[in-house]
Amino acid sequence: MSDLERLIASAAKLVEWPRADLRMAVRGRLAAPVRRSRVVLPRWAQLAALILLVVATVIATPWGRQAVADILEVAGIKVGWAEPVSPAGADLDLGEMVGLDEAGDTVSFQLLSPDDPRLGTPDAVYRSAIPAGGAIHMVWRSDRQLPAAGDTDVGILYSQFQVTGAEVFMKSVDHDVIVQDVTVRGNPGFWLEGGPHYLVFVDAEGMFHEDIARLAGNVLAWEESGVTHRIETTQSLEDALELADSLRDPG
Amino acid sequence: MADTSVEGRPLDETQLVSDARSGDLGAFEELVRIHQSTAIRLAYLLVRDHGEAEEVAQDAFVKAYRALDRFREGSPFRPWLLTIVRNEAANRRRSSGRRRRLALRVAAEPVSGDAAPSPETVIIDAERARTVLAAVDGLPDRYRMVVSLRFLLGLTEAETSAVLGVATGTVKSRTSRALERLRERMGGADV
Repeated sequence: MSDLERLIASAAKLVEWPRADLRMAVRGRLAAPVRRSRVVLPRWAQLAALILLVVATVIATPWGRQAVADILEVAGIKVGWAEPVSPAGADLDLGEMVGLDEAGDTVSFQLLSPDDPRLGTPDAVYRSAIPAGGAIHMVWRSDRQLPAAGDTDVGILYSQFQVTGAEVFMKSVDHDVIVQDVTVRGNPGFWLEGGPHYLVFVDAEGMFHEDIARLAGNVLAWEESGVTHRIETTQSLEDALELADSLRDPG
Repeated sequence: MADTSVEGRPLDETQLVSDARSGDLGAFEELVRIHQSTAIRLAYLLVRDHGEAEEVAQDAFVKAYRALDRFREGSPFRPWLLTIVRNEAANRRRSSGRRRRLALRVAAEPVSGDAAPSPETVIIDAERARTVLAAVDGLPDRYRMVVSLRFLLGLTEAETSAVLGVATGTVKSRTSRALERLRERMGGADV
C-alpha cells in the first residue's frame, strides 16, 4: 500500500458513516405476507379452483361444517371437526413461542399483561431475541368481532421491547397515513391509521433499529418506563386504548 | 484479503446462503449482520444521505433475499449483494432527480466501534481527512468510484470489478491513474 492509499484508508475512518442494524426491519419485511399477482388460469383450472373453493368454504366455515355433519349424521355417521393446528401468527416470524406465564422471565424488562375481558388471554405469545433485551409479541387470532389484518389470521398483535430512553420515532412509508398524538396510560404516544410504517429506535446496546409493523392495520404506540409498546390492530383507537388501559404488571 | 473461510466465523457463508435460499430467515439475518455495514457505506457513498442510505441498503437486502435463487452457488456473496445496492442507489437517484453530490460528513474523532487503526493506516486529523476526501470527491466519476471502493470501503480488486461491472485489469489501471491524479491535485499537501 502506498502512502496515499494509506492516507485515504485513514480518512475513511473519520467519515461519519451511517450506522444501523437492519436485521429486524429486513426480517419484518420478508416475513410480511406478499400479495400475489393475478394469474389467468385455463377454463378447466378455473372450474377446478371453483370446486375446491366451494369445498374449502364448506369445510372452513362453521355453518358449512354443520351442513356436512347434518347430511352425514342422517346417514348414521358421527362427525367431529378438529380445530386449526397452526398457532396464531405463526406466519409472522415473531420468534419462538413461549407461555404467557414464563414470557416475563425471558426478557430484561418488566412485562405487562393485558387483562381485557373482551379479548381474554392472547392466543399465542412469542419471544424474539432482537432488539437487545428481547421482545415479546402477543397475538390474538381474528374472529367475528375481530377482523383479520391483511392476509393473516391475526386480529391484534401487541409487542413490547426495550429502548434506551432516547426518542422513538415513527417513519411512514407512504404519505397518506393519518398520525394522531394521543396519551396512553399517561404517556405520550401516537395512533396511526392507513399505511405501512416503521418504528425507528435505539436499543439497550445503543444500536439503531428500524422495525416495520407486521400487520397492515392501525397502530397505537407509546413508551412507558423505557419500554416501547405497540398495538397493531384492525380495531378502532378506542378499542386499542381500552386494551392499553387493561395492561397490568402480573408480578 | 478475500478469504471466505475465516476461522471462528459461526457458519460458513456458503452454508448460510444455501440455508437462506431454502427459506431460513435466521440464516439470511446472519448474512445481513455480516454485510450490513459495507452495504450501508456503499449506499452512502452513492446517495450521500444517512437516512436514504439505510433505506437503500434495506431495500437491497430484501431484493437480494427474493433473488437468491438467481445467485450462483459457491460464488462470493458480498460483491453480488453490493451490485444490488449499487443498482438500488442508482434507481433512487434517477427517481429523485438529485444530481448534486454532498460532501462526505467527517467526524472529529474516529467513529467508535471501528477497528483500531491497523499498521496499514496512519493517524490523521479531521481537517486532513476532509482535504483527502474532497480531493477524492473531485475526481471524475470513473476514478472516484474505483478509489472509493478500493480504499474507503476496503474492497478487493475482484470485488471492485464486480461492483463496477468492469474487468479487474480496468480496475488496476483506473486505480493507478486515479492515484496519479490525486497526487497531482494534492501536490502541495504532503502525500
